[in-house]
Parts: sequence; C-alpha cells; structure tokens
Amino acid sequence: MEQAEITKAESELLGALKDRFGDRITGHGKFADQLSIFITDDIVFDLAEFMKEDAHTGFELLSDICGVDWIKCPEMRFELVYNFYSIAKSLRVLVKTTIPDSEKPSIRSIQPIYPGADWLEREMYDMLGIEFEGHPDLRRIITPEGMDGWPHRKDFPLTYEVPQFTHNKDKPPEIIK
Amino acid sequence: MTTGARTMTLNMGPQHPATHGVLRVVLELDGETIISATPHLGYLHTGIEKTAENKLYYKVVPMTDRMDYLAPMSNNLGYVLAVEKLLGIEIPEKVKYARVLLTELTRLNSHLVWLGTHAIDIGAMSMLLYTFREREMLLDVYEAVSGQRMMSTYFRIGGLAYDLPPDFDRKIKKILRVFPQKMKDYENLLSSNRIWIKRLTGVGKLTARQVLDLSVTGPILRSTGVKYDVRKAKPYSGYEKFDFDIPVGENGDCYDRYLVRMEEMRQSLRIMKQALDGMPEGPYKADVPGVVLPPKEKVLSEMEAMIFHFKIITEGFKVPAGSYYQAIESPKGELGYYIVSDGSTRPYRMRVRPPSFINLQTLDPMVRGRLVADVVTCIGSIDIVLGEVDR
Repeated sequence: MEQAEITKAESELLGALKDRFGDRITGHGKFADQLSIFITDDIVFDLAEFMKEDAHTGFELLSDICGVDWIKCPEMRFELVYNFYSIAKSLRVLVKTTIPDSEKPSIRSIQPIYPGADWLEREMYDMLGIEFEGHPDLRRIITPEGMDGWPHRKDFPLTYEVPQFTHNKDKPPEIIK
Repeated sequence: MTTGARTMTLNMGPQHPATHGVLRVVLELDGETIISATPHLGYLHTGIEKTAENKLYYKVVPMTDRMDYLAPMSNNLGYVLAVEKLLGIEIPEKVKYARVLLTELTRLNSHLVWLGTHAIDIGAMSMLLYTFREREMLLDVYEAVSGQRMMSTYFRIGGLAYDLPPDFDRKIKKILRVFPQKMKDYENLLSSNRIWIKRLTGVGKLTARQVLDLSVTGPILRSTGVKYDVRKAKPYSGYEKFDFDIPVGENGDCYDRYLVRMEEMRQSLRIMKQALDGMPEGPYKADVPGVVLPPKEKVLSEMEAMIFHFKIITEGFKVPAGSYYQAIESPKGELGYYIVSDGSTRPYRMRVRPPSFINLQTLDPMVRGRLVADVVTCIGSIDIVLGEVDR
C-alpha cells in the first residue's frame, strides 16, 4: 500500500502523542486521506483520555470501535480499531491495537471517557468475545443471552446453528463449512 | 401495597406499533415517571457483517440495502465508495452526479417515513397518509432506475447498474415542482399545531455535550447546534461542488429535530435541482477491465469483453490489501463502512458503523424523569430503523 503525505495537523498530533507515550506508539501509516496510528494495548485508556481532553488533540467524537479477527497470527489475533474524529479540525484518525489470543482476551474499557463506547464495546464483546475491563454493564447486546460462541470470530462456522433444545445437546447438528 | 418506594417494570415491545419495528424497551417506572429505559436489541439480527466476509465484493451490495431499508441508496453508496477507494478507481462525473441526486432523493424518502410515523405516534393520523402519497413519487423513480421500488441495489462498484432511464428528467422535475408545495402543507398541519408543539417542545432535550459524548451524529447532533455534516466536513462523491446549507437547531429537543429534518428536506431538493441541471453526459460506469462489468452490447460482440464478464461474475476481482473507513451522511447520521481487505476476492472484514444503533443510546437520557407517553415521542424523534440497529 502506498504511503500518502502526512498533513500538518496530523504531524502535530503524531508529535504530541509521541511526546506523551514514547515508544508505545509503535508506528503509523497513511492510506488515501486516512491516518492510522498503531499502539500497544496497555495505553488504550490513557490514550483515549489524551485524545479527548488534551488541547492539542480535542477529538470529541468516538465514531466507531471495530474488531478484526486475524486468526492466522495468534500473538496479535484481535485487532481493535478505535475511530476518533475531531469536528473542529475535521480530522479522522484510526487508532489500532492488537490483543494476543487467549482464553479471555481483554483490554481496558474506554467507556468512562467516551460514554458512547458503551454499546460499541458491548457489541465487540458480543461478536468477538473481547472482555472490556471496567465496563459497567458488559452483557451481550445483539445475540441472545446464554448463547455459545462468538459469531464474528473466524473459527465460528457460517452455517452452524447452536442447539436450541435439550434433546440434541449431546449430538449437535453437523457443521457445514 | 406496602409503604416505601416501589418501582414497576413495564415491558414495551417487541411487537408494539410505536417502536418502529421490533424494538423492545424495558421501562422502570415510579408511578408514571420513568426511572430508566433499557432497550433490548437483536430481534432482527441477520449477521450481515459476517455474511459479507463470505461473499464476493460485488455480491455484498444487495445486502447493504437490507440494513437501512428506508435509505437503500445511501447504504449502497457507503459500501461502493469504500471499495472504490481501496481499488483506487476513478468514477465518471455523470455517475457522481447521479449518485448525489439519488442519495438526496433517498433522504427525502427516509425523512418522509420518519415524518409520517412520528406524527402518527403523536396522534396526527392524516400525516402518514399524506407522506406516503408523496413517497409514491419517489418510489416511482426508484422503480424507473433500478426496477425495484424498495431494495434498489442500483449503485455498483465502479458506477451504476444501468444507465438513467429516458424519462428520468421528467420524473425528477415533477418532484422538484410538486414537493415544495406539499412541504408547506405538512408544515401548515404541524408547525403551529398546538398539540404538536406541546408534545414536542422540551421533550427529549439533550445538550451538545451529552450528544457528542454518546457518539451520536445526524439530525440529533445538529439539533443541539453542532454543525457537523459529513457532506461538508469530508465531501465524498463530489458534494463539494454543490451549494447547500446545514440546518442546525438550538434547544436539542424533539421540536428542533423536527425543524432540522424539515429544513434538510428543502436542502435536499436544492441539491437535487443542482445535480439535475449540472448532470454531464458520459458513461454510466467506469472503464476498468477486470473490475467493472463491460457494457452488455460489447459482451455479445467482443471476445475480450465476454471473457472479462465471465471472470468477474464467476471469480470476482481482487482488491489490494489494506483497510479504509468511508463515512457518508445517511439520513440518520454518519454511516460508515470500514472494510479490511487481505488481497483476496472477498472482504476480510466488513464493519458497518450503523447510525441508528448508536443514536438509540440517547433514548435513556432522553426519557429519564419524563412520562411514558414521551417514550413514544422520543423513539419517533430518534428515527431508528431496526434493520440497521441489529444488522
């Protein structure tokens, strides 16, 4: 992917972030008009606070949180993309971090800073099984409570139906891949 | 009844006419005052994001219609723009104009349904009949361009499905002529109607700070006075060439949201007029062999075109690895498509930022401390489509 040129506002932001977080900002890239910043997963909360409150940044809108399952690399299996937008600067930045594969992949919740992250994090928990520590009400939001498995993970088969009745619990229907 | 505070739990929905589909809200009541409202979602969950990962790029387009079924063209546009960006293809000017015109038509369509259902929830029965009468005109245009009245699937990666029909101009001109008069009729019925004002003013009031914190966009954000519209902030599909205003409110209550949406409809008509007048001549799809289907007459007469046609249909086309987030201003707010490609013929991940889903978070702060009757007003005013909330 070719690298586009970084604008002044973006380089200021990158500078401010590097001053604050040092080498925990692991890199950045730009595709078309969109800047992505890569960070380690331990600074998500502090970074969100910095993005919202600091005068250099002032990203008042958290547009979206998206999780991607990279099943082929277990040490960085879950990628979370935080999508920040600044209305004053009309600047969009994607902050990306990865979580290794484990029984209970977890990351700190940014709901206390951006209350709008509430449902977005619940959806990511529901779909990918990522636990958000410090989230006040982490329940499944779209699929029913008590459902087995995490639908957006790549190892969740497309046509698998969770057994609904007790009589076929021991012999679930065959998985068609 | 014993002494002391007792609350009552009231279940509203999923089969309730005023929840606009299958929304279920659990209300915690103290007398008739609402303590909290908890929406329960998922009754329409179809797993569109997951299904998209297993489909060729061009086969995802019809599924995007099914999300926000009142604004199918906006959904198409967001998806095709994101894929076109990843592919790096140039789109002909005529296509850009046609897309702008039709997405603004879609905004009218969506806002008309909002107005009719919102009014019928409050008790103004006749509004629904009037708005659906005018909606017929818009659906006629849908049918003329794509052959479908609702799930149009008219935009394709690299252009449009077919060329614009010969009587397209006439149909749009009729809308431009008739619509302003009808808008006056609506406003005569509602804007100074005492019941309408009493049921809406001061109801569901939010501050700009609250709305921004909840990530909410669209008319709800603009009604609080924040001038954020993706069409102006990050123009796409040639919106920078059009002259239009962004209406904003002051109070952030249901009445301001009503005013903002009504004005948005007027602005949409303005954009449609400019798009129709300035529509250039040219092809209706880009000439990118191997990605965009060649014209049908070439397929029937030229060997090469036939091979490309066959290859695109059977094995799709490869999209360079990368990811891109494309935001557009749908009638409900910022609609985003985040597409991750791993270089194959299917999207590795498609994430939709659904405005309805995120805007629905405002229901609880809107109705706290108010009466049960206001829940209906607030749901109507948020303007949700459950197909998009649950996906």
